[in-house]
Amino acid sequence: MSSSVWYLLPGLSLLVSALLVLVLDLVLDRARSARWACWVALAGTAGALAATLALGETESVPVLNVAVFDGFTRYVWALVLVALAMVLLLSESYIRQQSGEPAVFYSGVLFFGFGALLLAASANTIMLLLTVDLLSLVGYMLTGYFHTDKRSTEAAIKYLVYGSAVSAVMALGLSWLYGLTGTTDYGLTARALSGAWVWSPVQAVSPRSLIPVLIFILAGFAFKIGSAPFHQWLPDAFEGAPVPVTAALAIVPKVAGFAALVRVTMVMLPDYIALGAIWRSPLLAFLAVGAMLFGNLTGLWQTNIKRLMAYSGISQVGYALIGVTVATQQSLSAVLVYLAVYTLAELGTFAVIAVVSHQTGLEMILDYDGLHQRAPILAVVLLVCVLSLFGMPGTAGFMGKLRLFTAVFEAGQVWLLVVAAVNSVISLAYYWKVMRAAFILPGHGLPPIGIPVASLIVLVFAVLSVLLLGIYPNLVLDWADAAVRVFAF
Amino acid sequence: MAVPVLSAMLFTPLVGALLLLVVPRERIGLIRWLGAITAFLVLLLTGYVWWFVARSDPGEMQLVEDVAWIPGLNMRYTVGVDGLSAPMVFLAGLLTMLSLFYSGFTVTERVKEYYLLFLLLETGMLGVFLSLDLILFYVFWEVGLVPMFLLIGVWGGERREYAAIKFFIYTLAGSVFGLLGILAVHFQTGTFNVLDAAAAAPFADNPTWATLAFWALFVAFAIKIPVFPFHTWLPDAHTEAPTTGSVILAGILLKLGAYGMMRVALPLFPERFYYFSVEVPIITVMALMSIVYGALVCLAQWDLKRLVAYSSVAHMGYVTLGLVAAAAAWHGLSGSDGGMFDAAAAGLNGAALQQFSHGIVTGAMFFLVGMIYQRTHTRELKAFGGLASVVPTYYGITMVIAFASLGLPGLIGFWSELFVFRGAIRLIPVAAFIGVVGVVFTAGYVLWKIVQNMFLGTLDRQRWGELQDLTWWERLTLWPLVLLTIVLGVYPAPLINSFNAAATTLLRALGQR
Repeated sequence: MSSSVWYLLPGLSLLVSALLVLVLDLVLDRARSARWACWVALAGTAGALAATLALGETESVPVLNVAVFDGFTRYVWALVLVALAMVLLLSESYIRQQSGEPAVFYSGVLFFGFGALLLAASANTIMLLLTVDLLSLVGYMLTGYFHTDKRSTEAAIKYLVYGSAVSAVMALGLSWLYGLTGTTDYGLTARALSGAWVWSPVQAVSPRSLIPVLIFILAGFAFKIGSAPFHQWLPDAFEGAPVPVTAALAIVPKVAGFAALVRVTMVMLPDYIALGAIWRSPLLAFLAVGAMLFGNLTGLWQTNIKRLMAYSGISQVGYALIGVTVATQQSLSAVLVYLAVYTLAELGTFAVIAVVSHQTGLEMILDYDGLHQRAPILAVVLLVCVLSLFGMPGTAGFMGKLRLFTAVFEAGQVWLLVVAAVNSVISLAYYWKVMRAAFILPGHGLPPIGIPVASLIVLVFAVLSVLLLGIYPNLVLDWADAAVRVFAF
Repeated sequence: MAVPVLSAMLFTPLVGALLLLVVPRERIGLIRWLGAITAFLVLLLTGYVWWFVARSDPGEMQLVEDVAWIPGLNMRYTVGVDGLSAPMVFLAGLLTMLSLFYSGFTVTERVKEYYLLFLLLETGMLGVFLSLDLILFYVFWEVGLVPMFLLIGVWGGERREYAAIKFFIYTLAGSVFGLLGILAVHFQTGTFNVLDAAAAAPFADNPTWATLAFWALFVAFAIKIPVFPFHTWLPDAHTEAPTTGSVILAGILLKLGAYGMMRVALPLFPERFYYFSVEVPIITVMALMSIVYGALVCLAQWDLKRLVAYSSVAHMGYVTLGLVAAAAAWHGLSGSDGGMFDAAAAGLNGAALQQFSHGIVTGAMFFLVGMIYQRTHTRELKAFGGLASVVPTYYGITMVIAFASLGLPGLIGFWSELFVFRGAIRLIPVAAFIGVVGVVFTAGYVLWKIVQNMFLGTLDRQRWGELQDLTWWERLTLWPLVLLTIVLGVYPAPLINSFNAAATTLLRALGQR
């Protein structure tokens, strides 16, 4: 047993706690199990986070030849685990007080996190495919968690059908690539594609004829991170899933998917090989512009807040994709920062949505009218987080955008910046709808909304970190800078 | 290091806002006192700062604080104040104080949030005047936006939501591209410090990029000023905003745009400013359109608040015209002809003076409009008439302010117009002649619309017979502004000395490029 197994510790912590949740459900009676499941899951996540941080800054360590642990993995893992912990807190009262199987839910969330960790660390195309599918499978299950609720089931089925098709396409692309190169390792694939590896049959093929391969692989990524034009599942899944699941779907696969995308872009398709150049531009650039425009323009017409957040998420993915397209050291660091600030703002927003949805059962934007009277804390958190998603100075979102814009400017891709700037302004029009409802419009004399303690922790954590990072983001900036040094530029 | 006066001033409102956060919302009296005391402390500090700057050298940056902020993005926390910003800082402190004092008697809804947002707004405004780092400048610029947007949206008039979002989107659309301009400057010069960046003459040898970056910044500021044709958000925002919101909007927020022109756009790209003022006179035409069109709309306007709002467009046009005059001297600044330099300095002084005096005069004007609206619930000018006999104090104060607005000698508005035209007549004579037409129109609408329609003529005794004159707190709100209008009108030296020192430094630096 090699020492690299230590690096599986965070994942194991999640797995063990997932199993423990299931065992407890067998042993304890229902009410007790429902009460304990969340805290066991939380302990497992906290353990995983502690293990990740304890593993420290290291050189790149290959883990069982299918994954790699390095500074980049560590950053992404920490982010995913923080998000996971917050999602668990968010679901505490939400899940406990509704019918269903809490043990299934919590173990599901933990498996979800496990899949995300592996996806972020994968360094091998088989591993990539497996983890994408693991994430999707658990995702379908969680989306359909309320199996008596039609919307929830419908969303799960849509997600399933769509996801299966896309992952088949991705599998096709990856196996095609394997057939050409004879390897599943990212690094060896790059060597084969560049012609540096003489055993590979790839020399006989012109790079242009391989573009379909890239498109197939890209489809898988676009599906996972929720980018147009492979986003159709997303608004329905967001709307139908229980709110904590929506929060998880909005954050975890996107963060992990971006990590995998960055690694594929930097290690498997580096820019010195012809395919790598095509991959960055026009393919990724097209994806970025499409996601921004589509997400923002469609977002304008939404009336359901979860669907609105789905489209807002699509456009956010578009901004971050610009950073991957440019793929300089600065811009990838910017992507990591962007993912962090996105995660925090989404956590805050979904915490509000979860509380409102749980207490009132309503999910339309107009149900948020007068939120400032019914629950001032929720209104303030929503305002701050939405402004952060927009990128208002003073919030973390601004620092994310500024870091990104600076990096892209330095790389000379000004046209992408102009598109992003125009999109920022457009997005204000629908973020405004939320702000208007929550902060400006009077309520209809409805009773105050109570906030469960566990949710309050998430709300406070989100709003404080968004504001703090808006003023003093140095910690995250430096960490992200260090994290992307693992790649060769 | 000495006491960080500027930071103390900048963050006092923020501390006040944080204190407000923990006060229960039912304790309205406490909230009001806390807000007013905070604003008063800030006012004292702004007064001290101006005094300090005037006593030392207003041509140089004083009380500079420079700390590393975000090394990863090359951003520094750099604040400083000179003769150009000190009076504006004082103006911001004064108008905020008066607004919060006045609000103590008029605002009854969601009081806690109101004061909180107002204090946040004050930090944003002061921050813009104090920042020497472009990103810091941008952050404060936007930080002020959200509170004002909510002030209009929550406490505004009937069409408040429309006005709020229009204001928000307009300003943001401009400033997002302004940010791209800032990034371009940073890309070229390697610094965000506005003084260093100006000294480095960004894109001096690349007209295409210089043009793009210049317009990105110019439009951001032009929307805020607002210069025709970017002014359409203003009548709605000013009209729908609550009284104090209009006061701050017209009194300070518009000046942020003018100040940005003087501190950022002109020093960074004087050659482009010159080019688009003289060779391709787009800016000149925009300034003249603002003056003439703004005044003409006022002549046709029967809604009192909208009239005052449009008069802002016209009056801020003089600021732009002064800037155009200063920029027009670009090639002559370092030459042997001292007259060119003096004329440019006059233009720049005029622009600075105009932004200060317009802040005082229009601030007072919006207070007056709000006071009459509160009594009569109408802003329809045709509904009034003969009010002079019913509300004599109101009448008297309005007369002083109105005459200052049309530039009567002896009042504060006179000096700014004098300086603007002194600079313009030498450097851009044709534009100066057209601009003077605006002055005539101004006299027209002030005398005809406001003075004659409201106060003279026959009184509708049934409707307005019982109209109450100004209360003590309303007088207390107005007196400081009236006093400044008269005192600085008779003795403008403190103001002119400050501005002139800063303008001379700025133009000298430009001449050396």
